[in-house]
Amino acid sequence: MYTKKLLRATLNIKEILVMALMLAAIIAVFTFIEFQGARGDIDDIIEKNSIVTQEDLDKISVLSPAAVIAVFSSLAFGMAFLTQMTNLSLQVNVTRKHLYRAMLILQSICASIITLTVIPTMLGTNLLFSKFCTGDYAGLESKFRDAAFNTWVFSKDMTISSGIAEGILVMLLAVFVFTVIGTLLGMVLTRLRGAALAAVCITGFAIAVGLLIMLIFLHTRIISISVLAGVLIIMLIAQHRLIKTQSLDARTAVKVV
Amino acid sequence: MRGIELKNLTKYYKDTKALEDVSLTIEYGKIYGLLGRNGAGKSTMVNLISNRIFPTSGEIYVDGEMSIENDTALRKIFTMSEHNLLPVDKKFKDAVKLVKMFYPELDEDYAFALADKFELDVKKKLMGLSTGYSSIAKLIIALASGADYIFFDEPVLGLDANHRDLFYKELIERYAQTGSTYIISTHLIDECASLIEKAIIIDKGKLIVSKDTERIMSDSYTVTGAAELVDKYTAGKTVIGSDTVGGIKSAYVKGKPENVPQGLEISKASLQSLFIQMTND
Repeated sequence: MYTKKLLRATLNIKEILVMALMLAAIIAVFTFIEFQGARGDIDDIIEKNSIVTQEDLDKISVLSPAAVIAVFSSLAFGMAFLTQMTNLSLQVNVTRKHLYRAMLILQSICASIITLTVIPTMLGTNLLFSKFCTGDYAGLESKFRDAAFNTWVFSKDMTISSGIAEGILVMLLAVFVFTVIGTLLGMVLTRLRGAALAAVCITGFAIAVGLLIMLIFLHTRIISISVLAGVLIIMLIAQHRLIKTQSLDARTAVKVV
Repeated sequence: MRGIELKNLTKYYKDTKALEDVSLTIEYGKIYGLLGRNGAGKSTMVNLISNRIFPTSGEIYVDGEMSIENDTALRKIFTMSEHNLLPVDKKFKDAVKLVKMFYPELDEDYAFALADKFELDVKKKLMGLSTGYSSIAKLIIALASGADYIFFDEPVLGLDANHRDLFYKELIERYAQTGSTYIISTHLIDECASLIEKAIIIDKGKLIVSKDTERIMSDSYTVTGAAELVDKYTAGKTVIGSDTVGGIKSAYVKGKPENVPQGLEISKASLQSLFIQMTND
């Protein structure tokens, strides 16, 4: 009951909408600027008239900067919400169990907002790219598609699925970041060293393993996403269990539990 | 029995001892003064009772229930702390509604009536309030909270004399209406002395007194006069402390005055002067 109340007190529809709109605006503006910049790079590639390499693809990528902006902007919003929620929980004497539960839900909400904001932008960017590759640049699109398929993108269809894949990846990364930040913030603000520290250790370990696996299978995005999602789920379950069982200092926890 | 019971409460911050083996009972339906010098452990005690931090050892019971991570017990406690923990981007009226979500007994009408008395702009965001009005906003919410045990940590910080006076009057009135327990942690002892029924005095993390204020004051007296005469009179008696200005000495003595020689004046010791003597190094 108090978990829901904490969330209701911290978030309201107006604030979420403002957050989503601001994110969408930031991403749209940033993507447009990046896209304009990509024109010059494409001209260079045409002039060179050689095989399109991963380096070329990276040059004209307009997705990554937008994703980074989205993650950091929502991180700022999320941080503000998390701080507010923690302070409020202390003021109204809500137990840590509810606070952590609410924190996890808030992390997921923020990650979902990023996804909802990023996916349409990415789809739009890809469609824009397809449209761009006409006229003088006709034929270039398929060249890029082939190159992308051999390196990064798991599907030949660069329009829909790659946009969704990018979005999912961004969301997973966002949840990762939020979980770490949320736990650290929770530890600092609530001074719950035992549980939070253990959660951070597990999170850190999970991220290390996740990154390692991602590095190994970097060329296949679908594997990276699956691994990342798997690690994330394990991490969240571990964190939740820790919160449930060790929401107190070790000594008092033994007495209460 | 209704009340808050602390059993052998100890709190360490790393190697720093903030509270050591404190055991006491805060009875329901009384006004308490939680007194201590800076860093004595008052805020630590309040934060422990409010579940904001956890004890290194010891237990806290609220109306017989262990308070740590216990929603039922914690719902009976409201703490107005020195720092604002409410969302600063909220208007006062919204902050009241927000707290009511967690404290259903909160009396909104009373809160707004009190805001009117204090001339607090309820439509102003908390971040836009001055230090004094920020304290007033927190005070009002605490008084209206409807909790059984209301803690005030430095409640009159930044308040002018008129507002302080108004707060003390409102506190007494609210106390008469609700019969709840009010615990005031303050450095302005003289101002609160008339309100406080029981005093809890902490020094360097240790509980030194937890008694009725009247009893503390009637247990001791002040003897004032020429230093030599005072020294002669107090020889063999328990002297809590003394002040000397010029050749005139005031000694704070435990017990009842007896066989007072001429030239010495006996008076009732004030709570503040007793506190100073008890906690002086």
